[in-house]
Order: sequence, then C-alpha cells, then structure tokens
Amino acid sequence: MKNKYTYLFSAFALMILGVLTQCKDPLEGFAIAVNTSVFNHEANIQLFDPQDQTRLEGNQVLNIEILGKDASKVVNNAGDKKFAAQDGVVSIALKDQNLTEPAEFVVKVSGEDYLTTTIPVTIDPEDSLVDLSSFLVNMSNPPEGVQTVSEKTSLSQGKLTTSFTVETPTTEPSCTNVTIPAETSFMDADGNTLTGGQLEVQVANFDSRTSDAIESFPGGFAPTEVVDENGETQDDISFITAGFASIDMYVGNKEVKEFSAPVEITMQVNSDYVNPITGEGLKVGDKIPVWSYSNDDGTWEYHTEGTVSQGENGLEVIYETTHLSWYNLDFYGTRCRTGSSTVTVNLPGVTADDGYRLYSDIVYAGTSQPITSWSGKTTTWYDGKTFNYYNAPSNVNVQVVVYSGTSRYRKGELLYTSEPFNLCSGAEVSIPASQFISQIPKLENVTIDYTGYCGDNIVEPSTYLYMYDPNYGYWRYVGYVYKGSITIYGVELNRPYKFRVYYNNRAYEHELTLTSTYMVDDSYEIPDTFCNRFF
Amino acid sequence: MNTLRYSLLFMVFTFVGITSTYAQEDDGHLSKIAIGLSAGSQGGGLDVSKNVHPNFNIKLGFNYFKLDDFTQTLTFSGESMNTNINIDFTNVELLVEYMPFKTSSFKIVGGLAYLVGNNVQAVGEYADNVTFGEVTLAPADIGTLEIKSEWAQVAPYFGIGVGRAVPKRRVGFGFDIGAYYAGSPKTTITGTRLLEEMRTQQETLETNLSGYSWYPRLTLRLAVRIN
Repeated sequence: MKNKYTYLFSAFALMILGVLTQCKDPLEGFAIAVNTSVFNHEANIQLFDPQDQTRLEGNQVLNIEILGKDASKVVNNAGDKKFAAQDGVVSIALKDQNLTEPAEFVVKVSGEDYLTTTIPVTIDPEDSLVDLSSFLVNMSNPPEGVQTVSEKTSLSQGKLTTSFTVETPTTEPSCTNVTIPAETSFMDADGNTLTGGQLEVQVANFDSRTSDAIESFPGGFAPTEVVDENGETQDDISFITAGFASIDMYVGNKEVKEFSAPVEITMQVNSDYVNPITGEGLKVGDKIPVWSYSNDDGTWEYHTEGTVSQGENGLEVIYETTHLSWYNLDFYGTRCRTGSSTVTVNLPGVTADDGYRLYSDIVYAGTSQPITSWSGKTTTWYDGKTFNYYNAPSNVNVQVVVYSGTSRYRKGELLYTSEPFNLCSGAEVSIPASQFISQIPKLENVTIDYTGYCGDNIVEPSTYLYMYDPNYGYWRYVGYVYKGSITIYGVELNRPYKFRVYYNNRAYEHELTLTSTYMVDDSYEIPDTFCNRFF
Repeated sequence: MNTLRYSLLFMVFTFVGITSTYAQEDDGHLSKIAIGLSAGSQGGGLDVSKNVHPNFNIKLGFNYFKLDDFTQTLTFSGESMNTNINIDFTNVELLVEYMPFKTSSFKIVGGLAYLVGNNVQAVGEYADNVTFGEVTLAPADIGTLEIKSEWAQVAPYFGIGVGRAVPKRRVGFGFDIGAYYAGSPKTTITGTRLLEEMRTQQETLETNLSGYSWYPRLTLRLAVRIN
C-alpha cells in the first residue's frame, strides 16, 4: 500500500513539475526599448544661404560659437561641447534637465566669405523644442536686396595714413558708405591696439523693401530685449526697419571692435518708405533712431538719433560711431500683450483632415517686412481655422499675406494679400481662402513610425527630421519625430523621398518611398554614438 | 472589494452549512474540529477544519504570502536594473479532503481559493548612470520600468497529501502537494521617460508568461484537535 502512495505522490509531483517546466523563460525575446528623448530642452537652428544652400553642405563651412550668460549650459544634441553646422543645421540642447528660469545665449555664426551673424536664443522652462532659422549673407553672392563690398588698405604702424572710404554699390536702390578718417588706429574687443599692416573692411547694406534682405535681420524684429535711449532694458519693443547694415573690419586676422576716432557712416534710405510716425513718405528732417547690435551678446542698443538729409543720390542718414556692429535705422513701437485680432479662414467644405498646407505671414502694411521672426506660419488651412498673434505691434496697420509654398524660405507664389488692419484692435478678419485655394495641388499627410536597433534593443528615435524636396532644392525641416512617430504634411504619394537627421554634428540619411498615408520604417539607423553610450 | 466580501461570505457560509449539515448526523466522531498552522509555498497559514464524514474533512483556511520591497539587481536584455519586487498571493480557501482509506491518512484535496492578493509587481531602474558627453543621466532621469502580472482572483485547487485535517490524536502533522489554477496572468508594462517604449514588450512578456497558470503548493501543517 505504501508503495502505491509513493507512486501516486511521485506521479503528482512529476505532473506539477511537468506543468512548471513547460513555462517559458519570462524574458525570452524581451528587449529594452527606449526613446532618444535624452534632453528636455532642445533647439535647432537652420541656416540658409538663399542664393545657394548647397554651399552649406557638410560641417566644415561654418564656425559655430555659443556665447552669452547661459552658454555653459549648452551642448550639442549628443551631449558634447563640439558645435558645428551640419548642412546648415545647428542642433543643440541644454544640459539642465529641469530648467527653472529661461536660458539665454547667443549662437554666433561665421565662415569664410560669410558675414558673421548671431542668433539670440531664449529657451523658457516650458520650451521642449525651439526651432529657429536665419539667413546668411555670402559676401560674394549675397541675397537679393543685400549689397556687399570688401576692400583692403595699408596701415602704417597700425594707423591709416589717409582717410579711407568703402561704399556698397550705388547702382542698387540703397547703399551704405563708411569713411574712416586718417590717423585712425584700431582696437580689438579687449581694447588692445592692433598693429598689423593691412586693414580689411567689409560692409553689407540691407534694403528694407526686399524680403530676402529682411530675413537676414539679426535677432528678428521683435527682440527679446533691447537697451533704449535711456539705457534701460525694454522687453516689448517692435522694430520697423528703414534699412540696416553690417560693418566688419579686420587688421590681419584680428577683428576690429573699436576705433581711436569716430567713423562716419552714411546709409541711404528710400524716399518711398512710409514713416510710421507721420504716415507719410520719408522726407528731409525726419528723425530715425539708429540702433547698434552686438554680435557677442545679441542685444540691440540705442545708438543715436539719425536725421534724414538730402544726399547726392537721394535721402540719407549720417551718423558716427567708435565701435563696430550691425547698424539699423529702426522706428520702434510697443507691442500689445492682449487684445490682438483674430484672423479666421473662410474655406467652406474643407475640414482639418483634408486641409491645405500653406505658408502665411503678417507684414507691415505696404511692405514685405514680417512683424516678427515668428509671425510666418506653415500650417494646415481649413474652414474656421483661426490665427492669433500675441505681442503684436501696437498702433500700426498690418496685412496678412498667403503663399503657395510651405516654407518661409521657399514661399512660392503670393496668393493673397489682405486689406490693412490693426492687429491690436481686436478686429475679426476673415480670409476668403476659397478664392485662391484652387491654385494649390492637393497633397497628402503621411504618418511614419520609425524604429531602430542597438543590437537586440529597440530604439524609437526623437529627432528633428529633414527632407530633401526637389521643389525647394534644400533639406527642409518637416517636423519632429517624437518617440518614433511623425506626421509629414503636404507630400505626394508614390515617390521616393530622401530624409536626413543630424546627430553629434553628423548627417544620417535614409530614403523612403511614401506609398500610403501610414508608413512603418523599422530600419532606422541609430548612431553608434548613441548605442555605445546608452547600452 | 465587493467580490472579496461575497467570496469570503460564500466560503464561510459554505463551511458553516456543510459542517452544520453533517453535525446533525453526528455519530460521536464527526463533530471533531481542529485548528491548523501551516507553512509552505503559499506562505504561512491558519485554518479551521471539521471532520464531516468518516472519509471527508472540510477546511477553511487563510494563507498569507506577501513580499514587500524585495530589492534585487536583475538583468533585462543585458542591462542591469535595480529592481524592487512586490509579491502578494494572500488567499482564503475552502478545501475538501477525501480520505479513501480508513487505515491511511492519504488524502485527495480539492477546493477553491480566493486570491486576496494575486499579483507580482517589479519596478526597476537602471543600476548605473548613463553619460552622454557632458550630460549624465541618473537612473531617475532615464526612467522606471514597471511590470505587473495579475492572475484571476478565484482559483481552483487540486492536490494530494498525507495527514488528516482533523487528526485522530490531539496533534497531527500533514504534508500537501498540489497547485492552484489561476489561469494565464494579465501583464502590463509601464515605462516612464526614456523607457516609455517598454510598453512595446508587453505582448512578448504576456506570451512568455501565459504558461504560468499553475501556482504550485507544498505545505507542511501542524494540526491540533480542540475537542
């Protein structure tokens, strides 16, 4: 009998053991899956050479420096302190994961044959992604509306023996003239006198009537803060430019910042420019504030009050300076914090799901100058879509302009210009989009889910995505891949597209033929740098 | 909570009902009651048993098995993670013992358990910092991974053993071997921050754990007859 129980127990125990051994290893095939949202605060700056974007290909063309009070907090998007512009894209992030106060710094961009410019960046605690862009001026082939000149002269013991004048071409609608008196010596940023044998002077004049020239305005027309004529910081200034110029000088390889004697600057202004104070065309005797801009801290500072006078070739403003910078003839006003008008799209029968992707902007009435660097928007247009513009310039008329393109740098055809209105009046403005929308080809929105691998581990990328679009001729930012997913707006189906992402100052390219409105790409290339650091 | 209340009431009423029914047919032996203390894979247990028939005992028991904040460094797909594990398999059970042989304490046991606690939870985070150039991500910056498996609350039990629930003598010992059937667990994976995508592994883990439907039980029991 005992044997019988033994057998029974054994059989039962074996049965339980059998059940247990049928169980799989719980972690068989189990992988670590991560996303690449390493940083809580990222910024991407796309730099454009409007004449030929291919000149910015690679990461050796431009030099990138990070300056300003929070420069130490800035790293590239791989966490390193090496900064570069890969194909004109500067990808940066903040080391601080939990920002409590705005981080402010300046991205200084320079390069052989490119005018040095700076881009002020402010990242607020609530900003996770900041997208900025700026035009660059190639001295040999500048954008439309920009005239450049570069001339050299000899120095004797670090001084000019005779006065030296450099002037941008006068055949253009406006020009800038710089005259340095004899016996002038030159100092660097630390006040040290420079002793080289040759002086090089570079001057670029920007015509206020040309949009490409205006896009090159450093820092935008609604700067974060400026120093006014009383030396006080103002954070609600709105500029309306009558023209601006960049002046750079070098003795040997050293950049000149100051002079021993005042230098005279003459800037031509257009007689058809409407003085926003008087509402009439500029005339002799009108006063225009002159502002100077520091490439080192990205701040506009009141320089002097210029007076319009009659020159040989038209109206001009003459002023003096002892230091170098950008100079800007700028009327300015304040901005309204609240009460801005609402612009509504009237497009019967078109919903958000089948809307049209368009670029629109708000410009000062009668000009092509955007009211701010962020007033241009590429967005989906549908019936009832509304636009609100905060911090709009007060007491000045503006117009809505709509283009056929989807990028501020390739705006396409101008489709519509609204009647002038005051953005701060609280007015309701309707745009009859059905009048011009038929000119736009219907495109699709495509959602792509990306997955990549580090060995067996799964990585869903979070990154800015750029697409090469032959219609535009450059790598266009098409959106942020967030945890592996992105929706790209306004593309044609059944054609291949090239995509790039930038990581650690390198480009990673892949090609994808978009065949449906939902695509899966599970062969996304994860940079080795990321894999090696994370796993 | 209502399910728990109703299940417990059901078990208590069933226990009382069965024991009362058989008590009416008391032949002088059937009214014996014992209290038992047990230990085993189901944790520590306390029970009350009644002999309701020469071949049957009925037992109402409570087993406590809870593990809180058990910390272990585990390796997930090659990555070391400090893992905090919580297990709760506390249950209330109503079992019937059938003793086929008068001269032997061998028994076949069946019944139902209500799993008051029915889950295993593991919360892990990277054991080490991850450095991206000048940026060091602490484990908390990388995020946490939470895996939770939950079984059905009502689980049938099957087993065999030796030793009567109500011993013939004042004190008796017993040994049980068996298993609860709780079905395949429902598994969820939750990740935070960079580990948010771990949810993609839920299906894999759930498939791997689908065979974990039997909860084995090995029990040693000390019983004291109180009348």
